[in-house]
Amino acid sequence: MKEAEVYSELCGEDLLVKIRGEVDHHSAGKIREMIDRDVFFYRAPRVFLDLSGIDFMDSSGLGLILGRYTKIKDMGSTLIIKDPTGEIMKILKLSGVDKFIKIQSAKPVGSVLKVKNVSYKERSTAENEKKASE
Amino acid sequence: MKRKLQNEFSMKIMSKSENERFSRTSVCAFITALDPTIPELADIRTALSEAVTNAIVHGYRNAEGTIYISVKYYTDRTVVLKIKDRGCGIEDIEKCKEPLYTTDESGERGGMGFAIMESFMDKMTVKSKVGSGTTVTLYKKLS
Repeated sequence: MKEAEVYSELCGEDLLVKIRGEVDHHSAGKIREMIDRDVFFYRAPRVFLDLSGIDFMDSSGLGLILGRYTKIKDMGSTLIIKDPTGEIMKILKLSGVDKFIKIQSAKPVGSVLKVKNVSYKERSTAENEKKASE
Repeated sequence: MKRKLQNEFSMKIMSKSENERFSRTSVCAFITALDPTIPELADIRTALSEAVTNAIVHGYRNAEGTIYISVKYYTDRTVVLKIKDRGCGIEDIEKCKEPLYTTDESGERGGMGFAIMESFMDKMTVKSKVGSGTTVTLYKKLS
């Protein structure tokens, strides 16, 4: 059975992290460890999370992305999602994550975006406001 | 014309995370006989994965238990999935259905399980009793 894999490489100053395989509750923990290890090792100002090689992703993957977003932001860097598949884009749109995480896509994702929308309130907003007022 | 049951498949799995993939692969293989579109199959696969994950993580709280999955499809191309656990049950179903609601405090879960099931399928019903378990039923009519 194909395990999920994570490949990281430095492109200039940027870190490119590519996930391959299936991202579910079972695999998310291991993927999370692998990404965090590379993110904190390289401490690149921009981290590109390439999702084009993912065969399947459910809300566990969404949690994985949100967790990395917060950690990378706390490190002072920026997370950019790269080339999500149509199915992943549907989950990102549904959760409203696309409103605060930058998404770069080589090809447009068309009609699959017709989903019921809910807005995701950025988790760290309250924390940032608190920091700003201090 | 009244729809008739065309085919049925059921399985029971232990509440282990490594069975998540097996359950969605098996269910999708069964539905393939209806020749669904790729997006339809992907929607069913994702919704089922959410329900099974919920049973493992919330129903059984990662302890050992059995998850019962049944798939039926009818002559009008409606697919009905039933995912049942005998876990702890849900106290407030409506609250759990709210998008982004999560009991997790680590920031590593999205709280979108029920929202995805509801959005990706045509209809979802949740029956639950605290201490007895939860049954999620998902409906989708294929084109």
